[in-house]
Amino acid sequence: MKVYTEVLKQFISDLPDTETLKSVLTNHAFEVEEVIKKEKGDAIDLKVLPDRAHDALSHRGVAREIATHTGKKFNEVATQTLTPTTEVSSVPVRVESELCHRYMALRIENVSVAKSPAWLSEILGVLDQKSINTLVDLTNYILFELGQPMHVFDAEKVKGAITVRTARAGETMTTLDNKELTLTEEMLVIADDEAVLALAGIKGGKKAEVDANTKSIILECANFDSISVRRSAFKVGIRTDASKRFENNYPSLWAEQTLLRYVYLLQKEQPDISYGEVTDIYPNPKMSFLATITTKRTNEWLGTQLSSSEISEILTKLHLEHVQKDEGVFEVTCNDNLFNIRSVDDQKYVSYQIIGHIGRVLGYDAGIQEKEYMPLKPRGQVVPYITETDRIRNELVARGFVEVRTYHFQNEGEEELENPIANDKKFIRSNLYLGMSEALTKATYNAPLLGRTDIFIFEIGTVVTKEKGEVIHLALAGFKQNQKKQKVIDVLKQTLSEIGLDTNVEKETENYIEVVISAHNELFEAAQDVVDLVHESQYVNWKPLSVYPFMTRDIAFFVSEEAKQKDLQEIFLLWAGALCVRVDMFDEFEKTLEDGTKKLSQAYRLVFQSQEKTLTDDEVNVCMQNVEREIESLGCEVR
Amino acid sequence: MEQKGHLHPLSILINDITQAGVKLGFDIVDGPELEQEKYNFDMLNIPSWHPARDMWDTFWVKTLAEKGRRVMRTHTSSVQPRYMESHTPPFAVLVPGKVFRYEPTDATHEAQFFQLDGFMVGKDVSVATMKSFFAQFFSELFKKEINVRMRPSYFPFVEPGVEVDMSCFKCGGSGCNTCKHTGWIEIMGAGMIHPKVLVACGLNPEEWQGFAFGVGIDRIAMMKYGIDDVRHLYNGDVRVSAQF
Repeated sequence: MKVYTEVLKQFISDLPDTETLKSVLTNHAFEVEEVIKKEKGDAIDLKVLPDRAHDALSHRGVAREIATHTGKKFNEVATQTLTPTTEVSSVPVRVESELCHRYMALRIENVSVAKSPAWLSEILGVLDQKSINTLVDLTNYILFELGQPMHVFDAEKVKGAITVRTARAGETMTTLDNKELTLTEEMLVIADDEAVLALAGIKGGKKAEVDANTKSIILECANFDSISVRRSAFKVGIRTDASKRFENNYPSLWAEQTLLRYVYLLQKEQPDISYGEVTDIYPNPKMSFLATITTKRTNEWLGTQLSSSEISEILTKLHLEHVQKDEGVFEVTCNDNLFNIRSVDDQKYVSYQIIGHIGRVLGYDAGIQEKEYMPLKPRGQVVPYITETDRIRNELVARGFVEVRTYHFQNEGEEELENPIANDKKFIRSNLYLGMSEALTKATYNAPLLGRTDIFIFEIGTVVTKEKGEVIHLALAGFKQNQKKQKVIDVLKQTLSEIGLDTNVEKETENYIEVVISAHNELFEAAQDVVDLVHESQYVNWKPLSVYPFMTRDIAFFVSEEAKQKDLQEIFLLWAGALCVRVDMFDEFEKTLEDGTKKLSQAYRLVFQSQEKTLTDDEVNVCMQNVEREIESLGCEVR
Repeated sequence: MEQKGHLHPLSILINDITQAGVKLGFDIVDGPELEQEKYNFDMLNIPSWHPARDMWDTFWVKTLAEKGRRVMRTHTSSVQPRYMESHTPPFAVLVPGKVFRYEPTDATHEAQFFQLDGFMVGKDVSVATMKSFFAQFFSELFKKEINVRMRPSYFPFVEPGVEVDMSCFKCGGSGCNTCKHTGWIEIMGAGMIHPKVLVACGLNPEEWQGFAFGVGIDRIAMMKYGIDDVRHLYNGDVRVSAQF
């Protein structure tokens, strides 16, 4: 929600500067996402969350907050005292559904569909709204000013009475932006004697659209049930600034002020307008109600030592009327300004909301001091499956396995998503095989980058099957260049047996094995101590992963006496240049010559990769020529 | 040639969290990832019609007639009602676990990630206790003195709700790239457990009160280790773990 300092000044004449507003709002009310400098003032983009979306998705609501936290005086905006004429008829309205809480309508004659005045289009521009004409723009402006949505119909196009009713099955309407909607029976609509004029609280229709020839309008200022608006908006897939406010329970209390504000602003622009009596159907006026809070409970909840008089002062800042019935017992009059009450249940717990408001007036940063946290004793235990999986991690890492994590959603499984994010991610995995197979392929390819010929990986993760529900599996997989001595699967099996997990095998191939570790349903009985995972560094110097392929080159040579004194691995990295990302010795042996002297032979593998491009043979060859030249200059004999 | 094994960075971080929590007297538990709607939403004061549901983009799982609606849990806060309805306070619990959000992925967003939810319920657990706990917990986790500050916010299952910022664990508050030169890191949401949630779990809010918080583990991992793309954590790439 963007607020514009020029509009806020309507409510607070001596508005503090934007820096102050930013700090006050952040610490006591709403997160400030951005401040945008405009020609005349600043637009402040605020994150208004659902607890305050009923009253603070408006300049009025934000201005009240500013007044609370700065002590500035808050004024309501000017409105019109109506002088209706009998020459203009009042609007006949029938409200046939309880989903409409209040319906106000006023017929206004002699209006002009003129371009909006400069002040109005400037403000709408700052608030990212398109200017259409004065009649429509004023409803839009007032929505942002006061929060209450309104709508204007061309009065000549409305036939007979206005009826607020639920749609008939299959009834259709065309929206102002030319979308064809087919309505269902639970949707609330505004209709005349012929057809649907608007989808209540969501979108106006083409039928009674204001156009260049419009001379008289019907101004609608109404309130609709929040759940109904939310459901209908979802169903037709249209969400508007109006529907957003209604679904957040915008109060019906302020409809009259809003309607009078419209007439006031329109009359200033178009003094010749005339209007009839207001129609106001408001069967169950929403009343303020009383809630009790105590000084004791407030202090217990917040961890403060406020006195009753301090609490009373804060309530006054919040514009909350209150009386102290007994020492430390306050009866607070609650209305729609701060409390978004949707149910009897909400009302029951409103005292906690008041305490919350007191907390933020104090300020959670500066206003509430820390009270020493004392650990509960004896506590601090870990649910067994976490201890067990961490034990397994330690065992596997000690045996040279690399842990990976893969995705839960894939193209096969037993439990299916209603709303998958992609066609090949429709299912929750029922085993780890697919993810691990891909991981193994990548790991095998990348093995030289990690300085390995063989590579073994593992994953521990949840899977879901219809029969067993949610279960934790362990999968091992590996690649070995030479399987003469021991096959991959034998390594995997031996590993499992060493760590005591060779039962409960779910799946096995020549390079893969998956076992069940634990049913994921023994969740809460924490009973074991934490297992420390064995690892080296607390902080890691992360190297970004290249998306380009790497190349390897091997070099073998007899090592000279001079070279024996050096750290060849280090020196190789230097000589081969920045493209060389890894050097590993992969072979070493001593050869006895005929004359009885011994020669040490070593073989190194160099891995080349760029962060920016795919390397060519030529580029790598140049690097290798440098390496060869330098190694020879150390007296080594390249083989 | 290299023969060393490697842990996944998330395993290391979750283990660090577990150790810090245990040291401060918290039990470490978990609940199911495929969760009933009532634990993920309704019992946390997020009824189906409430606009607050928009705060979580949810994966729904096809329903079996007898089981009611099911979701991939959108937060490990789902374990709060599960735990509270079957235990008597006082208790202090941490839940590190995998959660799911229906959203397109990019370098900073994943459809699956890890979240730490924590809650403590007792006789005199207050906003002031919560603030002190956070400072201690993060100091323990990052092995250095961390300060916290809180700002008002809103989550349906707490009253009041706060956003928690912590002093930057890299620069200590003097300003660096990790904290975007502000000295502070927006780290998590928290608040006093809403009395409605306590009641839904069979606890009397006049008798018991406590705080709850939720923090993204992947985000901490990315900041702590400098990992540039969250997708690296789940694409099964050994080049990730090999750096740890």
